[in-house]
Amino acid sequence: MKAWLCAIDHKRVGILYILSALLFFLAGGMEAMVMRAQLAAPNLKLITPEIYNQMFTMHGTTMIFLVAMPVLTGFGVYLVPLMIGANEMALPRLGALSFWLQLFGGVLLYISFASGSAPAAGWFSYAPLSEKAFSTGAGVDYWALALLLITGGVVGSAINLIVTVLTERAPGMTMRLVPLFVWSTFITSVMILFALPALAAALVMLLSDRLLHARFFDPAQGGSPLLWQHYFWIFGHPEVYIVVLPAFGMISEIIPVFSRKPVFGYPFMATSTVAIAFLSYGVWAHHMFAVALGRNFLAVFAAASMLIAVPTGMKIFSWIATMWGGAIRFSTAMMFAVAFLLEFTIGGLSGVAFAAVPVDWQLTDTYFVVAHIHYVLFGGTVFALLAATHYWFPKMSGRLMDDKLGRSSFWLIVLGFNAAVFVQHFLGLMGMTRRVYTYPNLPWFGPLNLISTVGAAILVFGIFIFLCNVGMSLLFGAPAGDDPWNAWTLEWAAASPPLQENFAEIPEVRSRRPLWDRKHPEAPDWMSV
Amino acid sequence: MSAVGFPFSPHSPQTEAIAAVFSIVLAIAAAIFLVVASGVAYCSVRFRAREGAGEPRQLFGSRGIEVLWTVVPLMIVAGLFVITVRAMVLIDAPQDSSRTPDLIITGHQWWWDARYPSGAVATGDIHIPAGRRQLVRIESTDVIHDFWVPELARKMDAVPGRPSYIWLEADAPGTYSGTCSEFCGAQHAWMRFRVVAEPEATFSAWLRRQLEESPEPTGAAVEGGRLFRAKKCVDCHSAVSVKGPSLAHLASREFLGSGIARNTPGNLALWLTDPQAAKPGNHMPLTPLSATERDALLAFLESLQ
Amino acid sequence: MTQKRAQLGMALFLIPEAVFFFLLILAFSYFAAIPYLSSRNGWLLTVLPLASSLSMWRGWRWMTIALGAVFLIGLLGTSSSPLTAIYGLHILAGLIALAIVPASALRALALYWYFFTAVWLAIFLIVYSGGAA
Repeated sequence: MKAWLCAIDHKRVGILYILSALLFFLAGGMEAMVMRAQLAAPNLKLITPEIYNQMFTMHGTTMIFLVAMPVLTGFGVYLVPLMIGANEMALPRLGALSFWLQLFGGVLLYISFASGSAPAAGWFSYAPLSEKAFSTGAGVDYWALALLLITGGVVGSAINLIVTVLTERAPGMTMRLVPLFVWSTFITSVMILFALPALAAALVMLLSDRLLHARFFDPAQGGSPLLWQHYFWIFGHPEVYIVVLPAFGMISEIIPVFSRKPVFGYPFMATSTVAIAFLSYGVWAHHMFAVALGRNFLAVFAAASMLIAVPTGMKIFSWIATMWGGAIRFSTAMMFAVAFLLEFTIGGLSGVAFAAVPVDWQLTDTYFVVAHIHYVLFGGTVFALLAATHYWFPKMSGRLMDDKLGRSSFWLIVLGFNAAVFVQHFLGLMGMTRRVYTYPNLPWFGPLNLISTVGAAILVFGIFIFLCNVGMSLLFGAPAGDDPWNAWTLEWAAASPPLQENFAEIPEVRSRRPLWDRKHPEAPDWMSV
Repeated sequence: MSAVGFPFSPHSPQTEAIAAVFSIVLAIAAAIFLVVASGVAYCSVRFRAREGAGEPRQLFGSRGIEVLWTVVPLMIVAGLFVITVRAMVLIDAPQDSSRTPDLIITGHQWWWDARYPSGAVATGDIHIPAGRRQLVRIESTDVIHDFWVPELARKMDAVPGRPSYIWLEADAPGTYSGTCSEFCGAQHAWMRFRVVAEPEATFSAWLRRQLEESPEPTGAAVEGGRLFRAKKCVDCHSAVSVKGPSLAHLASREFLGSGIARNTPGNLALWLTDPQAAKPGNHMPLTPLSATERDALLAFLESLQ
Repeated sequence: MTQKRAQLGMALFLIPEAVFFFLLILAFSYFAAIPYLSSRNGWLLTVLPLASSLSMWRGWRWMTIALGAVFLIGLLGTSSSPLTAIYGLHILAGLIALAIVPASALRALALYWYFFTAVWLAIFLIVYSGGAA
């Protein structure tokens, strides 16, 4: 136990992140199920409106800050040193500190339940609703302080990852030869340095308003509610790419191995990641299209929001082209990766719909948005994480996951997720706004919400099967060996699980697929590319 | 509202324009999804690993194809942008505070009211003349709300301290539902309203009636009227207060509490005896009333035709 | 090598700090939430961060801490605003770090110190001068 509490080894810290994220995922999932139960039929009174509003606030905050970011950080911290042929991260103590900061932030957030008022102003906590006059309890204070702690942790781990990638690469591995997961994690970490401070500034101002009688966001005293929105979304939009780009990196590792071909168009894939990162700082006001900000102002953000679809879309095409002409093996990891392609495309397309400002003028703040975000965040990031878990579990544990349980969990999750979320597109189109604790008995509202609730329950069951698979495989799984998938990046040259010192001797690297070169001395990549 | 949503039941030039843009977006999205899904399906079947086959040909990329699938989406997106801007120009009202609006709609926690140039104030049901475009100013007195009547107009955030303008127009008489569309606190879910579009003559008659006093109370309603002032109800529930909705012509309303309940004596009585049970989280304090006081007030409120 | 990593890490850390203070100063000047500070006091105070940067550059750890502490006391006594409070907290953290880190970390800390001297100049020139006028 003490070994884990004091751990600074990147593999231990990585697993701590993943386990902490799993715990909060269960909490966030329970919050979702409470909401879905309350919405299963019109005019239900299972919970009070106040509790419902706390549920959706905590659900969003938990899933973004305590699940998505930490779990992606965990995979990054675990895998990046292995993938670049290093034995440790550059700043191990900073890495450990970053983990504990985000965990303490999460604990502080959840203590707010015990204090009697969890935050209830939504995960983006618009002013003036989040000001003291309208959120009189301490909930928003807990929320802001917890997020400040978490921000510290996120920035710390980003710094650690950047320094590691810059200083610890194996000889011969130039930045142009790093695996795409390393590249995505690196770019994401740079994005974090520029995006998270905007959140910190906004939180400091909110706390100043609430606790020190400042007047940043109070229109009655010369402040502006829009200032909060601008600062929050200057953070918030890059944030959603921060939680998606590493997932793209994972898919770029998995699809090639199970198609038995290198990823199609590595330079375009790497460049498009940078393009997305840049553009993501220029689209924030698309979250504010329903505010009268001026037609020209809105048009600029519409253009940028449509533009960012191009580097994103080309990734989908690249992954399909990777499969083309390949010899595809449908392991559970590959099944989730392929499902990701379809689910994320749906989410991306509904996002482009919002970039068309007049469409946003109807559909923003409805269940159409709820559908969009869950297709990209669950169908995207979570599906990629499920693929990544099945892919790297053997490396981290030395055991294989069960194939049958994997397939069952896959189909249950796909069925449950799509049943839960696809109908929400229609609910939005029919006028159901988001963040409502109940709704009137309008035509189709009841049946569609019921389908969504039932779908969510099936999804929960699928996740449960997946977790059983993880647990049972940890205890009884077949031994995996170093390289169960016949893969090509350096982590597969280490033991499963890797020894304390990852590599007895640091390998020399001449191409993007060092193990392919080793296995195919007659046709190494560095001769072909 | 049509069963398949706003794109298929627009009732104004503005929402027709939005529906047209949405249809184009939907067509593009469907086409792209078809391409992606076919690609995935085809590869999954055609390029399945065969027993004994070695590694396939290692293809690293193709500059030509990659340029193609950058340029084609760019062109699609450029086209979409042009359509978007054209529609924005058509739909958007001038954000010009020098023009006198035809209607001022204000959001409060948790109801809407509409003020007409004649001085009339309507709560809950907002009447407009059918076929005539209204310039509407959207305001808020507390937090950010959003005025949304999907069949008639784009949604517009009601930002305190920052009024904004929309065109509100119905091409045919009818009753169109709307709701607040920006999370505004405990009872955001029940901040609904209706826009009632009427022929000119009917609308003018309605407008005139709004300014008329309700008939003189008789019987128990007289005592109720006295209590309405004595118990301080009038402090919040008057046309000039922002703390509570105006109760003018309350008895003619179909709904109470911005849609949370139908206007029946029983539901109305609940507001008097237990406001928190009527609409949990709302700002109305509990005023202790004896049974006779409650009945008198009820009679008074029901006299407000 | 560890020193290089530490300095790189510190340089990267200063990026979010720069964005953070930039956004805060922007909000403060936009909303004229300018704390009162008389010109004379302001200039006097400003001498201290400049002097402490100089002493940091010379490697005089304890002189820097002393100058920094005097600055903090002066700041506390002459202004009250969330901006100076946040700034003061960062200076306090820096002083504590200066007191406890080993000599090998001083180069990295120096970066932190110069950065916050620059931030003070920005706060003083943009925010205070506007107010004092």
